[in-house]
Amino acid sequence: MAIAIGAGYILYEYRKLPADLTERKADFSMSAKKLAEEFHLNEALAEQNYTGKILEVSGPVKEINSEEYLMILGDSSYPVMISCALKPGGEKLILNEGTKANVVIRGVCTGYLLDVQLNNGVIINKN
Amino acid sequence: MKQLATIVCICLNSFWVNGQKLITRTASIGFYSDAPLEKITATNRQGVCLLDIDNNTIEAAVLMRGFEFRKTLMQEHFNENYVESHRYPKAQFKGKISSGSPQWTTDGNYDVQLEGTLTIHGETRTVRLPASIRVNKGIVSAQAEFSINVDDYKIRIPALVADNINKNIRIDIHTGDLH
Repeated sequence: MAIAIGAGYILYEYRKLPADLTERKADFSMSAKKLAEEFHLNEALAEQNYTGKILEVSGPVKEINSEEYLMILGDSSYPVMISCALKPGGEKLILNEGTKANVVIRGVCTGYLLDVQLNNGVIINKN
Repeated sequence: MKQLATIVCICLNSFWVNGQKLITRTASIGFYSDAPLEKITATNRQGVCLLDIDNNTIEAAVLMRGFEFRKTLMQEHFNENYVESHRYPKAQFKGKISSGSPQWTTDGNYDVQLEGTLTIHGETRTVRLPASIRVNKGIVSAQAEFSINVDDYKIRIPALVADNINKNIRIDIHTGDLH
């Protein structure tokens, strides 16, 4: 019986798909600008605080890459931009070139490489 | 007047030099392991690639944690056990076009060889990689496909999963449009 339960658990873990972040609570919520400023001021500390965590950020859409399903948040006042790789197949409506709106995005922070990067992202809200 | 001319010259020169560097922050990097028991694929859509067409040098980097897997457990094992993303967060290539002569202002496909250093898991190796550069309506993009052996980068695969992970990993890079 214990073996069957153990095998079932292993199979469950093995087959588990990446979490849908619309159903998950964010570890941190903040403006995209505050996140950008924190990474700009002290990258090591920000990496330590946020890498691997679910972040909910709000800010203006600077750029959309429909082909790769990417959204860049920020404007000229941001020290660095926030790049979010959205979960493919998620929010097709907003991914039209030329869309400029404020959005709330939830994603997993993967670190900093020219931009602060989030992935597995979902759009929570847009204004 | 002379001072003004000098300033204009400096500005133009600066613009020209900067104009020779093309960049993308949305390069797609995929890797594939084809082993007897399992096929594993992962993609990162946020690679950075900088191409200096003035001196034919190229730099590319990617965050290891940014690779997206189909299954959560694979992603966790990849980051925590194999590439140790917390210790070695980035992979990086720095090199130059060592053979082939792309005509940056003439549309066409150009096969080239890249020569440089590839750093993964904190290990740096000298590599020669085949790549293809495309110029279409003046827009430059590039792609490369090559394989690495995980042993070269001291990535240890436990014997228990030896039939699940191929030690030779195929890597595909598509820069998309460079601007």
